[in-house]
Parts: sequence; structure tokens; C-alpha cells
Amino acid sequence: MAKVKGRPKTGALFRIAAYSSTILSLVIYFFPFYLLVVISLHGNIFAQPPELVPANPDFSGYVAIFTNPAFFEWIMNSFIYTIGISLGTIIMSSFTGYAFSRLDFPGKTQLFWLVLGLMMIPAVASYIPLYVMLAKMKLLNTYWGIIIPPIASPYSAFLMKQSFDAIPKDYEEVAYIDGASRPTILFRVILPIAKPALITLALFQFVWNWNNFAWPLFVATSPRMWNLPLGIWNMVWSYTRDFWTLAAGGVVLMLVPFVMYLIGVEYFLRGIVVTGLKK
Amino acid sequence: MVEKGKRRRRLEARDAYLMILPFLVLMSVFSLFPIFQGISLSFYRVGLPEDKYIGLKNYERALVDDVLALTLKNTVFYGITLMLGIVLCILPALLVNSVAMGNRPRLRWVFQAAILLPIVISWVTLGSAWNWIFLIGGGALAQTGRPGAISISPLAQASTALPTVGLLTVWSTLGYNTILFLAGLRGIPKVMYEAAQIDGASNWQTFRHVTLPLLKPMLTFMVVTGFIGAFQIFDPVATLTNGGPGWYSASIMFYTVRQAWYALDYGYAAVLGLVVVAIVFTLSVIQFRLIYKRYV
Repeated sequence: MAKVKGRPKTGALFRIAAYSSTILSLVIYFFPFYLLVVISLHGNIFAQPPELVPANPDFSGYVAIFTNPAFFEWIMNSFIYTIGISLGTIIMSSFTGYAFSRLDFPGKTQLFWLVLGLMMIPAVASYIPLYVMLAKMKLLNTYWGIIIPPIASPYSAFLMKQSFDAIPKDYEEVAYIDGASRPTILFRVILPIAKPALITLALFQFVWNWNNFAWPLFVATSPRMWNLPLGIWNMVWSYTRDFWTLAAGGVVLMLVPFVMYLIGVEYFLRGIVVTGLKK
Repeated sequence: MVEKGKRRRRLEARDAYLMILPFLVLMSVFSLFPIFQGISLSFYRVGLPEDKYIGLKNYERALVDDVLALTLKNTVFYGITLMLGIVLCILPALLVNSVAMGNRPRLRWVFQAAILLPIVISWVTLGSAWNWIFLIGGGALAQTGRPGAISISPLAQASTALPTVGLLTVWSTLGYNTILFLAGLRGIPKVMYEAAQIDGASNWQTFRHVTLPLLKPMLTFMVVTGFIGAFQIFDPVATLTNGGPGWYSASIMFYTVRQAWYALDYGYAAVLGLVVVAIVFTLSVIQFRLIYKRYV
């Protein structure tokens, strides 16, 4: 709100409204996560009144997850997909962003238009033909088939171009006159300056790919290739009654993005503001 | 910049092509080609022993498909819900901002974490959590033994599933919207508020005549993005209700995926996918013209 120093008085009504909406929104936002943790610790939520602080927390749900071979496989797949796709995307969009931001070449405008155009096509809609195509290439249920297609991300290339655009050109002119090659300029001059943008992209990519379940839903048809979200989702909708293990899975699933978030709150905020990135 | 020699320019172009080549190849194969592949699929019945050309049959089917009409209606409902969510949240966001974003770093931190969690955490987790909340709430209500108490989740009833999913989607995007919103607020020069204060404007008058008009560009962006977002809703539907009961809460994107995924009807799913692409593309171009004028 208006940050006016020394405002004579703020209405009592305004203050009551402000404080109550703050408290209410905190409850609405934290409660689901809190509840999930309670269930995963075998809190008896079906008691009357529900037991909201588990009297004797039971970690067997977590033990089950890490000892169950299926769960363990899903977690490992999640890590493989996330790291593979994120790394590939970051490297590729750095090169592409640099070329679009700094270099002059025939067809640049048209190609950039193509990137912008593809940014406006919802990815999920293209998954259907992509599925048919990958099936013909015999790439379904393979790590390559899952990791390679999302790497050329127009969104990420656009983000990197935007952040390179903000860097003054003088730095690299000096390096260029000194005889440095393009890759040297990119890695030694540009990327160190663009570090905040790189971290933003890395965090977003990591969270996206970790959470993604529409893409694996298409290309990972065999349960052995599922990632954690897909695995848990399938268990929920096959009406498994083992809530505690599922909740523990949900907690493990949210732990990774949560830690990422704690590491880089400012980067997330920056990323959202700069590009309007959204999951 | 230094005047470029011919040789230097050629070298530059070579470097540029080398740098974007891998991206271009992958983008052409995995983003561009599937669009054309989708158009061609839409004329076929995909199946064994081989795909059969059926002309415009898939399109004819789309024109009389009741489920498509229903899911389109649902999607527009989600779009309106998301847009309303943005507009209605301005005031609460401002109120909360005045408390949480002041000189209280710890409260600010907690608050930021709260509103950002639904953005970073998977819908698979969110969906299960909300389903359980309703399960517990329903159980508790049933136990009070009041006549007419609901014992089943609002997510499982035909009349309430759609609004509930819409509401929870708004819940999950609120943090994102608030951040955009605050970024817009930060862009408003302090002088404006000082002037308003000197003129003796009340909080409401300041909001109405200073804040709101200056936020208009940001609001346009958010409202249009919200509406476009509705056509891409898949995760909330899949995790909260799995489209049910029946198709009552299914979005068009969910219906599309279902056609491919459970009905294995890739030709028809391709038609539905093209409908989504056409709508989203049109809306995005309009948005781009409104906001990123410098590119168009």
C-alpha cells in the first residue's frame, strides 16, 4: 500500500481488515501442507475432534517409501529426468540466447519470431503427435525419449536472451579485441555477469521438471519409468487406502521444491516478475 | 559499435549458426514438426494394422460432440474464475501487503513462503492434500448428525466439483498474481502518493484514482494470462477430480489428454489439440499486441 511516511492515522477498520486477511490467508495457505505432514506421521485425522498434532508420530510411511522398490525407482527416475532436462535446457538456452542477443546473422528476425510463436503453443497439445512420433521412433519408455524433447524450450531461450540483452556490450567488445573466441566470451564474460538469470532459470527448471507429470504421463507408459508425481497420482486414483504412505510420498515430493524455494526466494520472485514464468 | 568488416561479419554468422543449430534442430523436431504431424493426424483414424484416412470425419465429430461443448464451457468457466480471482484479490492483496510487507521482515518471509508454496509444489501433492481436507471435513460434518449434512466431498459432486476446482486453482495462482501485482505497485512513483496525501485523499480515493489507473497495464497482463491459462489447465483437474464426476469438472485440455490416453483415439485427440492450440495462439497474439508492443 501507499508507503507514506508519517501518515496521520490509519483507520481502525482498515487495520482490522488488514490483520484478519493476513491471518486468514496464512491459515488457508499453510493448512494443506501441515495436514499432509500430520497424515504422513499417522496423525489420527478421523478422530473426533481430529488429532492435529500426532500424539505418537509414526515414521513407517517414510520407511515404506524408501524401502519399497517401486517408490525408490520413481524417486530415482524423478532425479534423472529433472537433472537431465534442466542441465540440457540451461546449456542450450544459454547458447541460443547469446546468439539471439549478441550476434548478427541472416534470418535472425524470422527465427526469433518462430521461437516466440512456439512459446504460444501449449506444450500439452503437442504431446499427442509427439507421442505418436516417439512411438514410431521406439523412444517411448526410454531415458532419451523423455529427456531430449523438452530440452529445446522456447521459454528458457527467451528468458536468457532477455537477460543477456540487459548486459552492456562494452565488456565483450574488449574481450573480442583481445582476440577471445565466442565461446570464451560467453563462458568467461557473459555468463558470470548473467549469473542471477542463470540461477533463476535453473531453479525454475528444476522445480518444473521435478513436478511435471503431464509429460511423463505420455512418454513413460511403463510403471518402471514413472517419476514420483506420476507414481503417486496413479496410486491415488487407483484408490489405494494407504493414506499414510501416500502422504509421506506427497511430503517427499514437496520437499525438493521447498528446499529449492528456500535457497532462492529472491530468484523466484525475480523470475516471476521479469518473464511472467508460471508452472 | 565498431564498423564490422565483411570477414568478421561472416565469422559472426557462422558462430551464431553453430550456437543455435542444436536448439533449432531439436525445436524443429520436437516442437514445430508435431504441429504439422497433429494436423495430418487429425485426418486419420490411428490404429492397427495401419492408420486409415477418414477425411474430415474427426472434425465432423467435434462439431456434434457434447463432451467437447461441456469441457469448453467448463474451461471458459475456469477462465472467468481465474480472471475474477485476480480482480477480487487486489484489495485483500493490498491489505495483506500493508501488514506483511512493512517493517516486519520475519512476517514478510513467512507470508511470502505461504503464498509461493502452491506455485512451487506439485499439483499431485496439492490435489491429494485438498482431497483429504474435504474427506475429513465431510466426515466431521456427518458426525455432527445434522440433517442434510454433507458427508461427501464437494469435489465428488456434480453440482460443486467445477466451482471447487476453479476456486482451488485460483488459490494456487494467488501468490503468483500477488507478486506480479506488487511488482506493479513498486513501479508507481512515491511522488504520486505524496501528492494525493497533500490533497487530503482518503485511502480509498488514493487507491481508486492513483493506484488503480497506474496498475492497468499489469492488470491487463494478468487478466489475459489468466484466461489463456484456463485453456492449459490440466494438472489441477487431473489431481483434484480426475475430470469427474463424469466430465463435470473436466477442462478441454484434460478431455484432449483423455481422448489420447484412455480412448486411444489419437486422430480425434489431435483435432481437440488443434482447437486448444488455435484458441491459445489467438489469445496470446492479442496479449502480445497489448503488452509487448515493441515486438509487434
